[in-house]
Amino acid sequence: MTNEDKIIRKDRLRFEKNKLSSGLTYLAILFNVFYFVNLYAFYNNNYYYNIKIGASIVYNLLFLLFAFLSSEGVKNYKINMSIILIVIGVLQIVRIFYIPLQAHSTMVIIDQVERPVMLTGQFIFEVLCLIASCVSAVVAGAFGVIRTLQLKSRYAEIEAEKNNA
Amino acid sequence: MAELSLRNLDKIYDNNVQAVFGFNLDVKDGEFIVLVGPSGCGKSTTLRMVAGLEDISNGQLIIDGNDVTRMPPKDRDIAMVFQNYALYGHMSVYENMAFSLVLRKESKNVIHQKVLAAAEILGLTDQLNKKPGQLSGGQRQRVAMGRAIVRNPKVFLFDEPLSNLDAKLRGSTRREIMLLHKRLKATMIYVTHDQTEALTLADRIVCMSMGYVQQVGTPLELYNTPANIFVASFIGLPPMNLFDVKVEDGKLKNDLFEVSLDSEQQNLLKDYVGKEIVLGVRPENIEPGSDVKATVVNVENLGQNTLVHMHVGAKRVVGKFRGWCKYNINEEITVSFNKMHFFDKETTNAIR
Repeated sequence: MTNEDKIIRKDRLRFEKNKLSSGLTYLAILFNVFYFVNLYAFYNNNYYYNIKIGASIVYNLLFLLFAFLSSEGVKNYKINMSIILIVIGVLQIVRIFYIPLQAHSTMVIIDQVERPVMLTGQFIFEVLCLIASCVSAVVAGAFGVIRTLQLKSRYAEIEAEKNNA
Repeated sequence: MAELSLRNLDKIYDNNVQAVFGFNLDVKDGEFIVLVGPSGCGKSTTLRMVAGLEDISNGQLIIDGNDVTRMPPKDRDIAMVFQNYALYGHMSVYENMAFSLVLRKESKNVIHQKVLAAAEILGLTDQLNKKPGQLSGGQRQRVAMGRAIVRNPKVFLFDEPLSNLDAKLRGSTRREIMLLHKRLKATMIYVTHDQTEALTLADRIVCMSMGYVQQVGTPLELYNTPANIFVASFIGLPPMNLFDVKVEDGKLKNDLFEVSLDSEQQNLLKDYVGKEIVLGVRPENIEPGSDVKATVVNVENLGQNTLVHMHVGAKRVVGKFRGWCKYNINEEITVSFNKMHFFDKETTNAIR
């Protein structure tokens, strides 16, 4: 890519929305939905009937809310929304250790058979969903930050060109 | 850019209504052609046939030597600007202008450069991030033109692009189109029913009526030497005054007035001696004089000129006098004709 191409690419940001980041954020939401739909999918001897179930639902709602708001913000090059995306992306990794790992490492007796609350297959699926959601959100946020800074520098260049003229 | 040749184009609709009859025209490279005529005369139909939006019933359409009569619109390399702009409301100005190039899968950097160049030409650089709904009518029409420009088509077609604009905006946008043509040196075909647009924009005007071409010529030719009564009365504002007169004794006579003919005019009308013809006089060729008695019925002062509406007998006549004239209603005045046009009464063609 020539230097001119790089400048044009940067200049395009003035008129193009950050659809890449926005799309990745929607992907993060999608993986989160897969995660949450499967989280309580199997019979587990009432293991989850405590404060965890409410907390996980409330956090899930907050994630959806912030992810959706960020997807719009990042599309319009709002740097604080990009940072929020990175933060909620990292928190997806933290979620692995809250319910899935605990449920996977806790044994219960169901039908006189001792087994983990969350079976290995389900656990791997949940972990993969959260990792995918995390990666999507963090990459979206990172692109958001990079492109917003590029856009700012482009506007600064234009301003400088105007002043020089 | 391109040369166009429209050969014997007919448009016959499924219900057997014929809208265009034997349309012939050769358009030179970079020429600005204006199709003008009253509503329903077939000018938009002709334009749509060139664009490929209407099938050509008979005839041939040739662009740059290639017969494109049956070619689909997308392959003709023609851009059309519509009266109602036809912009996508959910897209920004930039996206609207870039859209056709995105469909062609051009590189984003190339699209960017083309859109910025077109926006610069049209003075839209500051509006690129806005949606069409945030723009004025004139700006929207410029966006529509920008969308055509970025494609760099062989031919630009304009279908009454200024009709939705108010009078002031129409004037400024008309001047922009004129400058655009000079800058792009593009072949353009423009449809309008507004003769001011036709006279100011065109290299050549095609005047149409009832599906037939009445005259093709430069604006000055149509104004100075109209081919028939229709063109004479359509081109010019207010329209030409027409009188039935008889050629007798070197004069034009009717019950109300007699006008002497000079030797050149007598020679021109030598075959019509003793016959009735139609005399045409433009309002600006009527001046205070001594030939024709008239009664003032209304006066419109326009500042630089005054429109004096008169009755010559029962015939209503308009004169466009220089300056600010003061006449009373029902005042008797006499006027002269300083330039006259003669038409055959049967064929309605100009006598030349």
